[in-house]
Amino acid sequence: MKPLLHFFVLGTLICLQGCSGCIKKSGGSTQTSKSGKSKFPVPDATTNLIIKDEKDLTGYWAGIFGPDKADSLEEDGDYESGYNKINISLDHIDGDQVEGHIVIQGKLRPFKCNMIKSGSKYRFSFKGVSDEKSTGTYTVSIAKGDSLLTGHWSGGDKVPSHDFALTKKLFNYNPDWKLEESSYIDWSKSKKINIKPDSGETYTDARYATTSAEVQKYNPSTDVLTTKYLANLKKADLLILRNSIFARHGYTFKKSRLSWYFSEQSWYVPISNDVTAELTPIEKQNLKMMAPYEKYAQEFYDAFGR
Amino acid sequence: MQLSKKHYLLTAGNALWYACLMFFSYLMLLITLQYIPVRTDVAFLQIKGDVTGMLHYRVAFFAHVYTGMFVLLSGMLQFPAFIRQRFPTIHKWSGRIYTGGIILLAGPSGLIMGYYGNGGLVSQTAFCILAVLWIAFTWKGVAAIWAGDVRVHKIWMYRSYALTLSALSLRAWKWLLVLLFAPGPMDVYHVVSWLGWTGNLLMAEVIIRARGNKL
Repeated sequence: MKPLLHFFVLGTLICLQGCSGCIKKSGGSTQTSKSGKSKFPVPDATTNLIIKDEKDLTGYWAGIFGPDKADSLEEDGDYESGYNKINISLDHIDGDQVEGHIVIQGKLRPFKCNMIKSGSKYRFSFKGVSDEKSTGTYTVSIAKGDSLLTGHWSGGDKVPSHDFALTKKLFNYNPDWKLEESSYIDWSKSKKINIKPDSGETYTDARYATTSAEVQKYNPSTDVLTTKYLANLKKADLLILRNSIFARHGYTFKKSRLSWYFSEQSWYVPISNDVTAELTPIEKQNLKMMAPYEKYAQEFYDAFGR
Repeated sequence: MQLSKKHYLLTAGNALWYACLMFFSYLMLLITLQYIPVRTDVAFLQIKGDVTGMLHYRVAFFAHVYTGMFVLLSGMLQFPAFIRQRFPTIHKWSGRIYTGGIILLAGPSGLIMGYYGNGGLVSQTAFCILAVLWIAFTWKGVAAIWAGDVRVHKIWMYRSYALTLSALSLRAWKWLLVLLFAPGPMDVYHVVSWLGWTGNLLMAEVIIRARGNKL
């Protein structure tokens, strides 16, 4: 009996170590981090999306920025990467001087360079600078009569260089922008599950925190959300729903997974790293209402509890 | 002497059963500790903002949470034969804590919480029925022992404790269902608000039937 008792007590003690994780998971912060707003003037943009004149050049030029998928995809599938949308904003053009800034993944960086007009093409090249470190060289050209800004980025020998093509975006906040079908998947959090298909052998697959069709049901920028709706949402849905409010205002996301997700939305243009002042009353109300549900879902959804 | 000693020893099966109970009770204790000191902005209460403003809900909630722990543990002391036979005083006094705790505090407060429960009518109905049966079964058990009928006392107390343990089984079911199917939080809540206690009650009936006259 004695050894059994010792075994029992020891086993219990081991079990009790770190049990608090069973009833509560550490929740991530639901606050959008603010690291000081980088303020740039809103460029005067003409409504011409096809460039007829030098005046038409100023404005936001946005599009997907990253290496070609075919080149970068590893044989086993490089799931950890996605694409960011970049916004090359041409703020001011004076003679052959171009002033602007780039917005990508939570960062706003100014640039200044000379523009060369050759034939019907405008060309310029600038270096991206962040914290006094170079973030590569951007070489771009825009042709008269065209609607594309085509460019090339090279970041030195260690990273593959790539081309990009951006279009001019006339940004006017629109609360009606809907989330288009696109999956947010957090590849860093997986859970192994066994799947038994109707035919064939059982196999193990991983389940990730991902969004469902629920996020398309209501729009937190136009609809007052109900507690009934929020209470049945999972954490990824709540995360995307909340951040869709910021995305509509052109918030540029630092977290790569959020940046990738919203970069796939056709209406999304990264503009600012602080949109708090732009939020509408209905959005503020919904944000306040969503916060406890998101925190609760993060902490308790898959824990022992109710 | 040899025989009676054997009789008092817990069998391996019993030990495992109590280990399980102790483990989940410990998790329950951790859940309860989140509400000490009294606060309404943590855990379950953070999504109950619509009702935590009401004094009677807060009183019911904290009465339920704090009494629940004592009920769970005092209930656990009722079943080992050696306590009942060797230390009847412990059995009686912990029994008074258990039954008084349920009938006067944890049961009625559970009914109030059930009325304001999450998950709409589906879950509210489940929780209200659970609270009423919990009080009723416990009362029947008390009445039976006052009348001196040990067998009937045992039967109703099995049922009563089965409902007490729904606190653990509801949470364990929820954890398991989320692990297996990853349903929406409220969808799983609808299921466990019923499954959490009906399963236990079924098990209690099976045990009562199986022991039959040996009770």
